[in-house]
Amino acid sequence: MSAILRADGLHVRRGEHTMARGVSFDLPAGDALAVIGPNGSGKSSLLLGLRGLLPSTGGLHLDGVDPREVARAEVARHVAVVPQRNESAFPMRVEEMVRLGRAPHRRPWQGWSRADRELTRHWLDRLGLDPLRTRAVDSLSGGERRRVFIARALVQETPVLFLDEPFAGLDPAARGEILACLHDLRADGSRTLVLVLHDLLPVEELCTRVVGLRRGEVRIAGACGEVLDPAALEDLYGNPWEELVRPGEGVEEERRVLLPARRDGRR
Amino acid sequence: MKNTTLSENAPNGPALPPGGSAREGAIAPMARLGGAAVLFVIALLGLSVVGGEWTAGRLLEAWRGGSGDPASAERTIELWTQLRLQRLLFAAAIGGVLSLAGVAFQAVLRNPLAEPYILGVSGGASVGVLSAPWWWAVGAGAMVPALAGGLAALGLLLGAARWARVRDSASLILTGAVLNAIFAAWILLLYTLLSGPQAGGSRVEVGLAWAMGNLGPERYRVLGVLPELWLVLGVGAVTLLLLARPLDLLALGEEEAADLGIEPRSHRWLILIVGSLITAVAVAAAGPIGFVGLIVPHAVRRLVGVSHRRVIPWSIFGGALFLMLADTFARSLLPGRPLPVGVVTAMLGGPFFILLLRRRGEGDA
Repeated sequence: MSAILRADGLHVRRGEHTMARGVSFDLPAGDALAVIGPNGSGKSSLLLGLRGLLPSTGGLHLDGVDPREVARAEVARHVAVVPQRNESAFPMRVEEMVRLGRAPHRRPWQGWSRADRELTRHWLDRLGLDPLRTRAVDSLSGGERRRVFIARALVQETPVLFLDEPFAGLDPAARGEILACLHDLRADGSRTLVLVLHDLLPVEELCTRVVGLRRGEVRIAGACGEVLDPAALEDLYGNPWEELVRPGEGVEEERRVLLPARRDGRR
Repeated sequence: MKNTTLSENAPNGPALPPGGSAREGAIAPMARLGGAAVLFVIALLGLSVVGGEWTAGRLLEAWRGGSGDPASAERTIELWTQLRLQRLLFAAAIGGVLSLAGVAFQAVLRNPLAEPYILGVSGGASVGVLSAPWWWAVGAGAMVPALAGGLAALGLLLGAARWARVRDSASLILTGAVLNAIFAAWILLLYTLLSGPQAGGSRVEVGLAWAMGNLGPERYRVLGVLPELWLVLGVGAVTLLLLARPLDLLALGEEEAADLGIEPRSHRWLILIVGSLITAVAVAAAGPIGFVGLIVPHAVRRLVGVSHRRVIPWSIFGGALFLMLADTFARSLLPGRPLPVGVVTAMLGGPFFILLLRRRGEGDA
């Protein structure tokens, strides 16, 4: 089995602080990894370390390269990132923003090729952004904006995609929008995803594997179905959890749901 | 130009971005045509207005062979080409340089309010020039101390910001403003020293006129800086045009720029240094002329969008137009008493800065 992303005893530092300690996992191509944990547990720092933007020690292997040892343009041809928020200094239009995903494939002074433009149009179309393409990114709704950055990451044509809290700050409708978009990507199977997730609902739906961090320490690691249970989550988040089983109806399978338990034990 | 920059987007109104109506390809021929027309009008104004007086008729007459006296006709034409045209070209070069520097600083510092003059880089270059006693004797030699002063100011700005743990770009602007005030005090001090008993009064006068930003004949003729200026503008423009995409990416923030394949730090430094160098050269040549790099790039972004491949050439062009017009205005406002052009740009630019500040506060800048 060849892992497309592998960390081996990875320590990620930010200044003098160690943000993630001894993280090890193997992620086969086409899988999806969820990185979970309480606030400040080092999830986003781990994501930065995995793409070489924070200093780290230990083994790191991303689609055949060590991102700490190659140029940024090279890294950007292996992994694309959907940022949590964007604070562009100037009001950029949707199409321009998405097209910037082609930047790692061109020399800085080269113009966009026809293929670049076509690929941009293709993903704008597939993510339903075509009607918005001349709008300013900062005039869009939260869900639309998130889709713009997913489109940009896809235009980047990398085998690995990092998404930093793709549901943060979205209302339920927008969450549904992004969830559907990510489901499509999973079904497509051509990309390996790493998602930092703040809540658990999408984890089992979207991901095959999970890493749980608490204060930089790995508390959970493995396949979702095997390692996620109330005891493990209590250890991770520090509050009691319980498992509910939703009976299947018709063709639907039975589903289990993990939820924070009320202190008095009732629901 | 002014009207477009002032047009408001309704808060939740049509979501076209500023400049969003500028569909690629559609606006380009129109803009080029309009630009050429504006250039023509401004050049005509600049060439024919003297001390508030319209003198195109006299030139035409001279071209036709003059009204009798051929010597006077020749002199008129010479006056025009030697003085007026050179001055106009000088204004165009300086305007282009200053506007380009503004574009570079705004993208890298991620703030549409960033400008070398406001950040104190021009002030540092001025201190450099005035500290070097040979500055008016050698002309183009003034560029060396200006470059040193400009780079030192950039170093001081970023150093002070780092030391004071300034993280947001608004505080960086504030740091620059304070630096600017310090440099202003230095300039006054240097003047006081210059105006000592052993120094000639005329030096102080020349220096004073320079320090207010001046495109007068004593600058471009005596110093003979025109070729150097075009060279610097050319090299700076080509360098920054080659870096147009990194500029686009850096405007998104350091982390995103890195994720899209550039080394943010080295690019940031390179662009800031190029921006400071071209500013310093402009300061050595014409004194610190403020706000060109603030007003012009802002207007250009509204007209052609934010992609630096378009913003850079249009800003150079717009800066040239703007300073040509401002200088014509400056030397025509008071008949017989040409004003330093820096006075005009500052009077326009100060309120414009406040306006941009207000619009940023409203989330639209």
